Amino acid sequence: MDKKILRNDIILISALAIASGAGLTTVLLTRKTDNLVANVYLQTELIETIDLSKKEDKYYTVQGLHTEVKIHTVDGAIAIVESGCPHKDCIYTGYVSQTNRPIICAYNGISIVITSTQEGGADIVI
Amino acid sequence: MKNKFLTVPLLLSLLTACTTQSYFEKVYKFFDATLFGYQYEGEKNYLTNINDIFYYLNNDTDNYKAHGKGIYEINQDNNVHEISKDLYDLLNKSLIYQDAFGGKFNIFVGLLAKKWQESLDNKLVLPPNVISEEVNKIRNTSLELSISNGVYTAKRIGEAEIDLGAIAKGYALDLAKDVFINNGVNKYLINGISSILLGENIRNSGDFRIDFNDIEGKCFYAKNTFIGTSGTTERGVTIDGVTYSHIVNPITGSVINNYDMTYVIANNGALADALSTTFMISTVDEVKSLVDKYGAQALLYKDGEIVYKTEGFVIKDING
Repeated sequence: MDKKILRNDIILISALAIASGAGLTTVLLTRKTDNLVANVYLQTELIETIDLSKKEDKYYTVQGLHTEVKIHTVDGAIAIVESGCPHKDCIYTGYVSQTNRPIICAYNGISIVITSTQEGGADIVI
Repeated sequence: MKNKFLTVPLLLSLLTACTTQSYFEKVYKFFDATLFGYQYEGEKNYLTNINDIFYYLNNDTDNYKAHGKGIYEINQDNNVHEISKDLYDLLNKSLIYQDAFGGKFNIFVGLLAKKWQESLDNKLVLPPNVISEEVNKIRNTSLELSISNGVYTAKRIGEAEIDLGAIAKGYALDLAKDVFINNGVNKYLINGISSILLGENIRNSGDFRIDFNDIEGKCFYAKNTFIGTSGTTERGVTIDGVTYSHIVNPITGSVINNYDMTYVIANNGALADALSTTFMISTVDEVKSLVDKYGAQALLYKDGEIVYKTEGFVIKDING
């Protein structure tokens, strides 16, 4: 009886180990190479998460403190393209595709921060 | 049979651990800046506790708006004001640096900095007589700090206004680091752009890769330290070909700086901030003297060239 349980255990553990290994391999092989995500904040609240790795040409509109703010993504980069703020510094920042190089519209309280879990890229730009 | 039911969740949990990654993040709007906080380990989110610290220190150090017991109130008169322990410690540290940095770091530049800002906003250079008057006020102003029965007080003597803008954010990061360390969190980052607190990264053996905006193609790696930067790139105003910054030389009253950017790596945030500001108006020899004294690393950058760099400030090619 004991031997039977031990043999069954070995079979089960082997099967699960193979399945786990296969699953992990699948996850690693299918992981996106450019794992960039842009988080859009209103003040301190996360209001939109945009997957830049899809490299979509797409417009998003978010409500800022004073006016709407229009965001554009293209080729894995993101920019604020329209805002009712007086100085337009956020628009002048242009398209950003680097991690931790935020785009900030102080007037509207909007911040866009790109984060990545990919090895090798810059963590901070100063 | 019992063994089989234990094995399944064990292997599934191992698989899940291998394929998921969780961390906390928070955006802070304090010290006239945006700070991005990341906590990469731990069950409890300490970024919220840090928010409270930033909130109170921001109010304490605000020299434009009244919050009850802070710099704004001290700047209004020459009376004794009760202040928080954190503000007391920050002022005390500031005065120590003021003495040690050869007069080029001075918390009494507040009024002159405001006058320069108003003038530069209108694309005008501040008249020499106004500069001279304000520099005299800076020279003749001091601060008395005291503790009595657990009550912390400050009294300004003179007319110049206190401005802690060159050190407050760095000091706030010192307090933030204490929160992480006291709670056993070693993997974290608070990026305040010009003031950065680095714990350990989740990759690169704990190192963070830091790229330069101005120094193309170069980067450096660091962990468990503080970075302070100052410069004219973001906030400089150019009039008739001369770039004026927001950093005031307290000795001359000038806002024309010696470098475009200064970068400092130091073991505390207040020091990194104070040094990076001071270096903007210092000679290379003065910088060398201070980095030797405090064991800091520095890089000075002007007109597309690295003017000076300590040996320990190791920069690498991004594609190298």
